Amino acid sequence: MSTLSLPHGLTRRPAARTAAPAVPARRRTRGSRRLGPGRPLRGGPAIGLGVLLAVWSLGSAVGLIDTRTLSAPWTVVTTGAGLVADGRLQEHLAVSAGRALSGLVLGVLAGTVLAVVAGLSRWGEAVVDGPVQLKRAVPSLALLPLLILWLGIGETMKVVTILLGVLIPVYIHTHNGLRTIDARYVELAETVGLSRWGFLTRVVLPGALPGFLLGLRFAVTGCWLALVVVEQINGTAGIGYMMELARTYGQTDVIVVGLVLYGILGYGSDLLVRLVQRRALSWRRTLAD
Amino acid sequence: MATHPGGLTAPGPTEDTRVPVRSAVPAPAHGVLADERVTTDDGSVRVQDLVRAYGLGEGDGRVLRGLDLTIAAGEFVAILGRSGSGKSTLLRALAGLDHDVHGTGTIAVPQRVSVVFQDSRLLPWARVLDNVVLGLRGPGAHDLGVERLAEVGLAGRERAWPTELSGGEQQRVSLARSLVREPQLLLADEPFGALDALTRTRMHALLRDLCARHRPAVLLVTHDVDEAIVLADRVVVLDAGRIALDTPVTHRDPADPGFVALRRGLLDALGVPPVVPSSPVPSTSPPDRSTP
Repeated sequence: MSTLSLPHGLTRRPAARTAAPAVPARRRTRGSRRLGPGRPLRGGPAIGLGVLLAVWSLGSAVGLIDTRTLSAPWTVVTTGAGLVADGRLQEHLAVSAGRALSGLVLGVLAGTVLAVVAGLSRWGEAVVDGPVQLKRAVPSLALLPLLILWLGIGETMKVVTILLGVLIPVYIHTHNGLRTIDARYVELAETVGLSRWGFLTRVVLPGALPGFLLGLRFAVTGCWLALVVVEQINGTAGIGYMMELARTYGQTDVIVVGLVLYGILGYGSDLLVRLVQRRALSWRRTLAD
Repeated sequence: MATHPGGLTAPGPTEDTRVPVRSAVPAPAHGVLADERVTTDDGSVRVQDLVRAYGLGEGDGRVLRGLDLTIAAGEFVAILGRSGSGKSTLLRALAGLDHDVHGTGTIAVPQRVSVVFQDSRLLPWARVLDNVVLGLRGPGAHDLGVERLAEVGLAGRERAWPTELSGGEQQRVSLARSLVREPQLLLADEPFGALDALTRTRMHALLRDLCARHRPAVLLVTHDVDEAIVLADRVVVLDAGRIALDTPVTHRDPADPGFVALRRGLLDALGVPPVVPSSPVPSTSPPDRSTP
């Protein structure tokens, strides 16, 4: 049985029996693709984060990182706990989340509608695509002065800025997903006599869903990023305002609490979308499966 | 290249009677269809003087050259032909799927036409039952879909994703989808071409069974002579855009001498030389032109 790993013909030869080199039978784990990335790791996404946290803790503990530059993880935790106990953190978070969410919802809606319009009609493409591509090339920060002049420094300006940031990735990826739907399915829709509405709901939207969800992943992280920018303008509440205030007083621990919060929010929303993605695209068979 | 103004190249294509000289009239702009499309009430198909041309085809680009074809209601017609003979173009013309060609002629098809493609063409994001009832409206759609799925032997697989099915099963779903709207004309474009021989034989039996029950007129495009004989009432051989042979199938038993004669006749029309046993003829090499 030990010669099982040798080629069949070799076992009959006496030379092979006497030499019997201990060729270790390389066991390949079965059940996964040879050319795929392999099986999913347990707790996969947390590993990289754990390494980052370990480096930070170690650096702070041995004094490699100056506390005036970056507070130690435990200081951040206690400061965070203090802010929660005060109720200030929840307050800021609620305000920020409200802005981000309203901007996200409006932006995703606008991006999707524009992508469908541009994807399904030549006129729509001619009218919509140009301005959106132009907006894509202009940084939100550069557009801000104009938006402030138009909309003031209130909530409207903040939500519109987030909306504009969110719209772009959703539009680009949904439009791309929509335009790359196989022409054979369009032909099929014609032969079974689908109406325009049926074509939209049965073929176009499900077909563009992978693209849309990818755009959404960019959008959910993007809406928190845009928040940082807008909340530092005339803020009276919100995480960005809290951090801006902390900068004035040199409280690195509060700044890091804000950063960590942004990170958690962005990362968490991304995880959420990925979860939705896995559920919604369960029909797909891809490299990652 | 053959129509080089200086006449530098050999006058090749003009000697072949099947390929006409490039027409003096320039081809119309891409995708101009000037044909007449009517609906028949009795479920029959009538094609008259059908011309289809692709802008960049050889010669004058014509794929169908004045084709006439009539299919009676409930008749099963198989179209045989070599690659490029125009059989798929004919099917796409009947299905109304040819947008980027130009052509003329009259096409009369029944109201309800279904198409079965070579690939099963199931929407991967829709479950099997949703694929079957795609485009179907009304309250009875769901039950009808379940019924048709059972008919093709896939009862209980309504909730499966298309990727979970084998190639043969996917093609059976596609058959169910085509039958769910009770077509008067079923257009099938090499529907079993991608299946293995064993599955294909079983699909033949299924298709014959289904057609006997639902009685649609069928136009089956294939390049398998035996498939054509086994399934069809009538076999039409297309060659260079024209009908080269139109013959009823009278013998389906392979042991019958009539079957052998019919098969030989079809193969001749397709330009397949007979295989002569025990004397290997260098049939693969092109005919020698250097010696007269």
